[in-house]
Amino acid sequence: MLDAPVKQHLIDPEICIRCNTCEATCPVDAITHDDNNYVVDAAKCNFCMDCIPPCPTGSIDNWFVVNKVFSIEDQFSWLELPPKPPEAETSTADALDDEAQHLLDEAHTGAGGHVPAPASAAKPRINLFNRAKPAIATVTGNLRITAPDTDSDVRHIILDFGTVAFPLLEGQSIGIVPPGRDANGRSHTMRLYSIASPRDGERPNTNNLAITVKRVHEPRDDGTMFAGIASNFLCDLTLGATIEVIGPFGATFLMPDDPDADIVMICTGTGSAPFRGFTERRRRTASTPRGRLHLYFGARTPGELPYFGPLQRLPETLIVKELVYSRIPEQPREYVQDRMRSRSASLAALLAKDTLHIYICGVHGLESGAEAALTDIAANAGLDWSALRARMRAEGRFHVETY
Amino acid sequence: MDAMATRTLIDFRTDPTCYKHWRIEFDGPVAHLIMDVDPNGGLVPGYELKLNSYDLGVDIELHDAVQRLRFEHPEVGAVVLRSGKDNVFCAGANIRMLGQSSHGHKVNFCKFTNETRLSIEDATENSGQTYLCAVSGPAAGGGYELALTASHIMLIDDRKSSVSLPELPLLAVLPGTGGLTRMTDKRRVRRDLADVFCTTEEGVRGKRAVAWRLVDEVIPPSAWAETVAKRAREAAARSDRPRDAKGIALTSLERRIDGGSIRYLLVSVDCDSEKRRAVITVHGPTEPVPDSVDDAVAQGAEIWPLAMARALDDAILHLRLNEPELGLWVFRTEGDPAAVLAYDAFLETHATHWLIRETTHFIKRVLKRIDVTSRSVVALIEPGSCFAGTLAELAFAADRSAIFAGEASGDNKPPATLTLGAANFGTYPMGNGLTRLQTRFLGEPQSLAKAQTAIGAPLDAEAANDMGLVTFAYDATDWADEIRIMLEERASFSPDSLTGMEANLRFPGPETMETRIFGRLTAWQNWIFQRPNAVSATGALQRYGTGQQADFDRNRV
Amino acid sequence: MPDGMTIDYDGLIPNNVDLATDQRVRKALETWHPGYIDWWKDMGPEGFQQSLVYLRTAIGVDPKGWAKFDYVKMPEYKWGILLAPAAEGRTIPFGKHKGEPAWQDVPGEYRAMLRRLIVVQGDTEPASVEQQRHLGATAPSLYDMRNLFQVNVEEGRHLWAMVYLLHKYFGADGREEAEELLQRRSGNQDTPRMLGAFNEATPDWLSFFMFTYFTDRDGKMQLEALAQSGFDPLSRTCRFMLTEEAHHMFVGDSGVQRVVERTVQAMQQAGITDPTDIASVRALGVIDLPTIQKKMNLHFSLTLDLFGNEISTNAANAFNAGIKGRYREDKLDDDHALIDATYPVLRCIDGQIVEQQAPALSALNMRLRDDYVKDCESGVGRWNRVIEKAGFGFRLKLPHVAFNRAIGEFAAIHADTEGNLLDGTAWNERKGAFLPDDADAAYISSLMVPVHETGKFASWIAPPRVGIDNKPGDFEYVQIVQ
Repeated sequence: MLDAPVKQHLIDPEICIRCNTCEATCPVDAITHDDNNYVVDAAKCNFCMDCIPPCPTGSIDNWFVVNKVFSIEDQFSWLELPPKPPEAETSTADALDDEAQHLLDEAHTGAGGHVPAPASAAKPRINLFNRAKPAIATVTGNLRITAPDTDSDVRHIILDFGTVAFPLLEGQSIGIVPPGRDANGRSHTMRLYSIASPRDGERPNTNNLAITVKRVHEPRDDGTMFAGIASNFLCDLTLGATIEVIGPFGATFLMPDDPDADIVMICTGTGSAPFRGFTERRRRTASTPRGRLHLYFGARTPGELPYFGPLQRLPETLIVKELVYSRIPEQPREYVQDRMRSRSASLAALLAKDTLHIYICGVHGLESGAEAALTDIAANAGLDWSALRARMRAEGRFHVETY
Repeated sequence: MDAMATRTLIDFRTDPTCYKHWRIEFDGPVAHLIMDVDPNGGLVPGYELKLNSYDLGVDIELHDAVQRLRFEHPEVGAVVLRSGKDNVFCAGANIRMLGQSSHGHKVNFCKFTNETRLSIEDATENSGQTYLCAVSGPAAGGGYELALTASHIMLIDDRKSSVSLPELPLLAVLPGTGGLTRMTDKRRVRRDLADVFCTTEEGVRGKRAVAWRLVDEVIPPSAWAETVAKRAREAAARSDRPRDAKGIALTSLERRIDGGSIRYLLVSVDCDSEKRRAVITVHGPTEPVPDSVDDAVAQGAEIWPLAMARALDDAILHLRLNEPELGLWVFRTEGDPAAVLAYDAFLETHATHWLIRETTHFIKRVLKRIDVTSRSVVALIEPGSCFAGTLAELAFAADRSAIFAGEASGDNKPPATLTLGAANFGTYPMGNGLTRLQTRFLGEPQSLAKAQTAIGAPLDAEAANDMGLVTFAYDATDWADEIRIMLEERASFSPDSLTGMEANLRFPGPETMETRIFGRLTAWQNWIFQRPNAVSATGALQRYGTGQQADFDRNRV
Repeated sequence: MPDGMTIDYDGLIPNNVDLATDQRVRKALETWHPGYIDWWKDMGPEGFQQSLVYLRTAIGVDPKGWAKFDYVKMPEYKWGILLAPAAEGRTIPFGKHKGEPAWQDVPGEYRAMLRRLIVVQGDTEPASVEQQRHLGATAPSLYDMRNLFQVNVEEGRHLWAMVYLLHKYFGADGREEAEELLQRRSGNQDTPRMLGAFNEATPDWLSFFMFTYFTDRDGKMQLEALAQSGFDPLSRTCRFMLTEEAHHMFVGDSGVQRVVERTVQAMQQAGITDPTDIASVRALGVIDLPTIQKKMNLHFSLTLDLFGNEISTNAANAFNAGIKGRYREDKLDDDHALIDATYPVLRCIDGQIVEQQAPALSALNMRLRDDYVKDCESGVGRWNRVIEKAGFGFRLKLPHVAFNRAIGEFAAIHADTEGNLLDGTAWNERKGAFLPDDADAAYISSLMVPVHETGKFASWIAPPRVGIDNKPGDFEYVQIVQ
């Protein structure tokens, strides 16, 4: 265990002003000080994050992955932080617990490598609540957003945190652990859901968030029906019910705050959730943005396209809506990548811009179709997509979250 | 414990060159009497005079300043009392000083400060020298009591400055330097508001202080200096004091202490600690009366009535503070009664002259000191004495008097007489507003009328006795023994009960603010000063400043 | 909610004290509210009231509640009544009532004392807003402007906190005092603020940083002492305020550090080796280190006066009564009663500075001041490391506690910054070497030009290491609407 790389919480002595706020806040007395420095005892810190928001300086927010932890005495002696271990340089933790990190690592594999957050993204808070100490949310909305006559039951669920602060950014996820036990008597595994609302709530300055949940209810090979435990639990929630929420998670799949950024958002189904958050954020903050949003959104039919109604009301100046349907009777099936190809001029122009950010979110496989289209469009414009993608990835401008 | 009384001789003589705590600034007819107490200038070690708090030493200087302003500055028609500190007017009597003082010292300290405050009001009322008070910074306790002596109190409205009497809530004693009495009797503050005020530690400021009649006006800081100056000029303009006159110097009072003998030019004191008695002999004038009032001014402080009164004043104060065990004072006089009456006539003739006016009021105040002194006072009217007019007041101030009847064998002194003068019928009222003779004959108006007919005639023992002007008349056969027995008996009684009895018997008749201060307020205060709630080791005075609260015996007595 | 964590944002006044059901206090506060807003508009930051400022607003009283940053117009800031959660079964931690249950209501016998403490504390909050109201016009960057405004709105909230206590616990008197908190004006001759340092002008940004470093730190010490109070609502209020106060410390600490950093950087670039070559350093458009030292001397000494007399009956009474404790009382290991304890106090005896043992109860102001001085040292050390790293021998140093004092033991004497006594003549001659003079003020004032371009900073100050809320360097912290 000693030599296994571990994450260590450290305070930057050059920036810390010794205000004692962190020490006063820490619920497990992990923070202490001498005449020199305020330091964190790695043996006690449980990453509860209580000390992070109240710190006035930002000196508190340092995380090193180390093979051997720095002792309190080491830290007392510092005039500045030691050089950050190189392996930690490249990774931006999406979560501080392995369960959520693992889920997000999986979801992000489609990007083909590590992607940092966009340069102008706000600093995310992660892991403020964990399994042991979840936030309690009240269900204040549970609305079906697909047509009643379709098989697809997608719900827009609003969770209100009352007075508990649950700071979040668009593109982040929350974790839900369905109540009860599995067949082996263990608690259920956590599910991640992308947040579908912007950082200041469903309506501005409300302390709530929305998630988009599709009820999983499908026939198994043996003919019986499989009912997703978490999705059914969520979709069946009644108003006023309380549930436990973990998170927030995600430190890379974030939107740029830069109003000049062009954002191409490619999604299917509930993959639209983060993009609803992006869109609302952009709509509320930038009255005359120079950058635009481009949504490539695929569904079987308009009735099965989540948020179909609200999307119609968004102005073209804000967002270019490319709604793509694969099951319209008597029409050829069109998929997202098909529409992208038919908009190659527009997309090629965007690919040339350094302000372009591309996000792909939906079921596994979506990214390969989208990338094939992008490769062609790029080639026609004289660009090498794989090189461009590598650059965009390194600059935090190409993100994939599929599952 | 009683450091003040036994170890250090308290000297009441001072002058502005020696002041540690006050300074006077003159601006034409306006004088500014500025309190700027030196924290390290306490009379004895053991306390610091922080925040313009005062001890007896501070008040001795104040008394001297008030006196000098009257005699040395006829041009001054208004005096502004103010603070030389930025952040405080005056925090009152120093608590730690009170905490470490003996009961006797506290009582005498309060008595002297009360007299000084009355002398300030006397200047306003009788000398055309109006006192105003400019309160900037908190005036707490004795600080506000000092302000109360002024005829016009101005309070700066800077939201920090306030007036307060926090003695009760803070120290479990009373605002005993006239505070309670002046509030109700002088300023006519409503009694219920006074009750609230005296139990509110932080006091009152701003408009409420005016509404409650605690001050006369509140003034914003921007208008402060100008308004204070204006009020002072207005008051000075109302004065009848001569703007162009030159004052006299209150020269240093010569005094020689040699064992039990204290010698001034015109007063001698012989102390007999064994017999617990002091014999105070006042010498009549030897110089003829001045030819003119200008001549009197030229004589300055040397002129007999003033020189005599200054010496007597100092002797009284000295004996009170430094000789507490001498419980019996015997007043004697030596000199020519006619000469005394001649000076009285001179004073009467020039009564409206500023210096003469000051002189008679000064004598009045010295005589009042005797009235409120907690010593048995006996006057012995012997052959060769000059109990006439002004000096006859000494006999009337005494608790009892004896006159020697007939001739004494073996000397050629003139026989003992008592001579009434006009001065005995209005010049020297007591604190109760009556003359000593009016007070004496409260139930015998005919005796008073008869006495008035005898003005100017030397009364022998028989006549004086018949007219009720003396207590006893003894001839040569009995005199020595009777007097010895009387004095020995007197010295044997409980000093406390004597003090109580005398203080009661001396002030029959109407109550005035002054008698209420010395009678009611002082008596209650002195009672409280004896009670454990104030003075025990766990009482409020001892606990003050330690951060610990007093433990009170909750029984109402 | 029983845990007191709930903030009600529905009513006019956000709160976690259940104002909704407390008719009396709600009415009082709602009556007070318009006066407050008027005060803010009259006396709050001048000229930027319509601008969008990226402010932190507390949305919860638990640690997580600190995370909310957003653009807000200052007059629409969510000022509210926020108390730290009540600690179950809390007892009075010191004084003669030690161990008794903490008071949830004001004990009658200490009412006046408590009210006085609260009014004095409350008076300082709006005072500093008033002192700083002109600074927006010369902000050296949008980042600094935002920090200024954050400090300002939080001082405003601290006023709310004290006013709530006055309204809730002190009846008609409390309402009157609360009203007067809005009437007094910093530096106004007729209606000054209660404490001296809060009537001094804050003429420039270096003064502002010094003020937030030194004077707000006094505020922090006072709050720390009041946070220990046996009067639980006061304790809870102050505990919450301390978290906000930490930000003010940060602004001052990092502000001075950035000024120092910029100065040594410019000297290095220009090849200046002598930091006391003031003319050459000033030619670079930065503030020379000796002038920074003088500003320190001024603000440090002015602030020491706020601690009052070294020996104080009021402090002793407040401690024994369980009203105001010591700095971090809960971490101290003694009997918390101090009846027989002593504490060394610097006194001025016969013109000499000597140390004497004094009863610890009476010496509480001295003790708090000692803690303060120690606390001040830490930042100075950090500033010196910047100078040292740049290879200069110059060191900043706190002046002696006897230097330039108007209150307490040393008010009567003059001393230099090392504590050597000076007579009046020597003091007048050398004063200009210790304290900023007119020429220094004029020079600093000449540097005070506004910089409103995102990511840009005035010539005399370095950019911060880390942005607020981890924002990138060119973040638009204030969207200026004139």
